[in-house]
Parts: sequence; structure tokens; C-alpha cells
Amino acid sequence: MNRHDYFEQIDAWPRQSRTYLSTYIVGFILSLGLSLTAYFVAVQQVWAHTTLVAILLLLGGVQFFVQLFYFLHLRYEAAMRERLFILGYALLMVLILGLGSVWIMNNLNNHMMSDKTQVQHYMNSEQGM
Amino acid sequence: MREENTTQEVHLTEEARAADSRRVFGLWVYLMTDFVLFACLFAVYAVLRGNTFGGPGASQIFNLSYVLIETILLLVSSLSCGLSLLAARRGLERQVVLWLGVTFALGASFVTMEWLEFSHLVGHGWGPTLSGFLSSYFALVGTHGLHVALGLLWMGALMVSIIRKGLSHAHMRKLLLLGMFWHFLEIVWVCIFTIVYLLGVI
Repeated sequence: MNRHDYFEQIDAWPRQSRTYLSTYIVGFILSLGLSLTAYFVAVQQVWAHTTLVAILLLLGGVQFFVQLFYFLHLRYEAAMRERLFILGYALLMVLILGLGSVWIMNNLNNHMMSDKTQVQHYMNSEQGM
Repeated sequence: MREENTTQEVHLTEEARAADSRRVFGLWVYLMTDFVLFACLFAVYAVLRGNTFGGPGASQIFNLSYVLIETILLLVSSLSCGLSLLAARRGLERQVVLWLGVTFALGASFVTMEWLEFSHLVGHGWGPTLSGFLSSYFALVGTHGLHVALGLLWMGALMVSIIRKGLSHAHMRKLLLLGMFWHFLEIVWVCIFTIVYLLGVI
């Protein structure tokens, strides 16, 4: 076994597609482009608030997978399948924790007060206390 | 490109190969549990971000261009960490140390910038005790900063070891695991940049 394919031999890097300098460069340029785009979208604010949130979350989400692919070299390969399962499970936990918390806590606010305008009034006057 | 070949070729038995493969898997399991830990902090932040208790909100205290510089520092450090791995494959020991040094310097700049940002906020009286929003912000971003600082310690120790003993098989493995950890921290930062900073100021 040679040093040059050690990372592939221990299943850290994909065997079917070689990892080169270009892999990292492409990942870097894509990530940089996505970060800068997100930055300018947030600074310029030419769209409505909801559209901005959707675009920024989309750009962040794409960059998340770009970095998993180009920097952590995650592929759909036999040796990496367990890692993908764990990633999928972690993502499920993240969604349940994140969206679940936001959803329940917002609902809680709605159920504690009688209606939305009252909640808004309460939040404004008490600063969320 | 000239091959330096300062150390002998790596010879692995099947047993050693399987052991190293398990270590990669083990680190991956750790990274994913760490990811869930960060998800808890993100959830707390998402719930508490409006609870400013009369203090400033996200759009008043964040300086986006400052955070963009932090983002780029960490992204370039991720690239140089990858370059160090590529150099290790070719046995170019000096390049490995050089790129690790670049990664270390960029990571240290990132931690310094974050430290300055925190002390700037605390200096204005906007410390973590002021409101639920600031508590959750400091907890989330501080935990990430702590991870980066620990990664720097790990990196420094590995650099010293490679310089002193030469690039061995064990170093290749440690470099790979450190690289995975470092890239993971960059991925967490993408989430922080998007959810805390960008969504905070719009």
C-alpha cells in the first residue's frame, strides 16, 4: 500500500472518484460564491422579507452540501453508506429540534394569549419578557 | 512535481487498515453528535432571538462586513487544510507543515476576530446576561469559537510532532481526522453565518 492512496484505502475519501487539488479549488470557489451572494442579498435587500429568508436559507443549505461533497468527500459509496445513514439521522434530529422548537414555542405564545395582535402588543410592550 | 520522500512508504496490514477505517467512522459519529449539539443551540437561539428584554436586537449589534471577513478567513483555512492533506499524500513534509501553518494562522485570526467582537459587545454593556437573545447568541457562537480554539491546539500539537518526528503513518491518520474536524467546523459556521448573522440583520 502506498501513501498516495492511504485516505482511499481507509475509506475516508471516495474510491470511485479521485480527490485532486481541483476538488478543493472547486469547493472553495463555490462556497466563496455562495457566501458572497448571500452577503449581498442580505445587504441589498431588494426583495420582500419572506423571499429574502427563503433565498438565504436556500443558499446556506446548498453550501452545506457543497462542503460535505467537496471538503468532506462524502459520496454514495458502499464504504460510506453508514456515514450517510448517520448524517441522515442527524439531519432528522436537527429538523425535529429546530423546526419543532420554533413551531411549538410560537404556538405556545398563541395559546397563552388570545390572539395574534395581543401577542404582538405584549411582545412590543414587554420586549419579549 | 518533485517527490521529497523524506519518510518510508506506508505499509499497512489489513488489520491496521480496518482499524484506521474504524477511527474515521468513529470521528464521523462524533461529528454528527456534535452537529446535534449545535442544533440544540440553534433551536434555543431561534426561539429566544426576539426576546431582547429592552436591549438591542440582532440588526443593531451585528456588523455584517466584519462577519464576512471572519467567514472568508475560515473558508480559506478550510482550503489550506485540504492542501495540507494533498501534500501529505505525496509525502511532501515541508508543504504539509507550511499549509498547516497557514491554516493555523487563519484559524487564530478567526478566533481573535471573534474574541474582539465579543469584547466589543460586552464593552457596550451587551453581555450574555442582558437578554435571552444575547445569552443564546453567546452560547451558540461561543461554543463554535471554543471548538475552533480546541482545533487550533490539536493542530499546533500535530505540527510540532510532524516537525520533530517526520511525517509518519500515524501523522497521516491524525492529519486526516483533524481535517475532517476542521471542515466540519466550517460547515457549522456556514449555518451560523446564515441563521444568526444574515437572517438577523434583514
